[in-house]
Amino acid sequence: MSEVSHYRILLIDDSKSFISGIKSLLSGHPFEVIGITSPKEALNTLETINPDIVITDLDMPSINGFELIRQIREKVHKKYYPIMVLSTRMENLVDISNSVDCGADAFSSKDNIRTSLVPQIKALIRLKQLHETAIKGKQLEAVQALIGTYKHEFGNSLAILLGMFRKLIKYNPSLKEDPSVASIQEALSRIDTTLKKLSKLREYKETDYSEKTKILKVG
Amino acid sequence: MPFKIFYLDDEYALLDIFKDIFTNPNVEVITFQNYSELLKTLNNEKPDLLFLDNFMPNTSGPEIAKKIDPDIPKILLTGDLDYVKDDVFVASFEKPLNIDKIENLIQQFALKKYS
Repeated sequence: MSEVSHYRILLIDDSKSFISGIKSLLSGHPFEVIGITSPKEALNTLETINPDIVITDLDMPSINGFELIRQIREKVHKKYYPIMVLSTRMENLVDISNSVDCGADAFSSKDNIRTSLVPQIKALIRLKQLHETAIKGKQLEAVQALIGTYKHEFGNSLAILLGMFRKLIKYNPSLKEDPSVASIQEALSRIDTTLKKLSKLREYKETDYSEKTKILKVG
Repeated sequence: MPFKIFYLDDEYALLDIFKDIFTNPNVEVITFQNYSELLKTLNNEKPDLLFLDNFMPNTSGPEIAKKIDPDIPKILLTGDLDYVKDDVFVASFEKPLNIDKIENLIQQFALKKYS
């Protein structure tokens, strides 16, 4: 894990002083800590904050840690956020078990955070990165399969269009003077070029086409 | 004796276009829309070059090429060159075809034949 990058941690704890304690503990590390005292607010802003990992306390008023984790796992599907439970109750094995059942990935006792917090955070960030790499790989595989199918289907149709067009002009040379003929030919070669580029796609970037549509950046 | 080319493709329109490319009376193009037609003709006559489509119903260009007389030079026409690495072919071309390149290749083989 590179120490140069900054990773964002969302910390949910009803104690303001605990949040500032963690902030100063992590101040020498490449972590940006965003502390929120209300689990409800955390739920509402999680995707906007888009942290690399989430750390939560268990004992909190209104929504407790278990419920918070459960709701994150139920409602947030676009991304996977590794969650660590940080509690004074960790000596209680039932709590560990419940946390896992609710969807937590790691646990730590508040008593030994000085030694264990940073390595645990690093492990969770690695988990998140692995998860993202796997997703990207799967997506690329799917995109490539889709392109392969299209390319085969469109390739033949395009070959027919271009070939027939050439034939048409060959036997009707006067068509060459018609500007619409040139436009059709240009459009066909554009499709051809795009298909060729698509087939060479080995990684992809999305780019916003409109508010609702994303398109692939090709070549 | 003209330079004889066989071409197998399941797309009739592509066969039609291909035939039309060669106006030279010294080049004879015979096209086939399925493998069994090609086999029947191969029993009686041999082409100087055999062009094969890649993807065809239930079979493929490489699969067919391996079953045919190794002395006949074979050329693959495919939608995507990246996915074909097969030394059973003397050359392969991407569709839509670059006609100049194909004419060049035919010329090379014709020169060899008549020299």
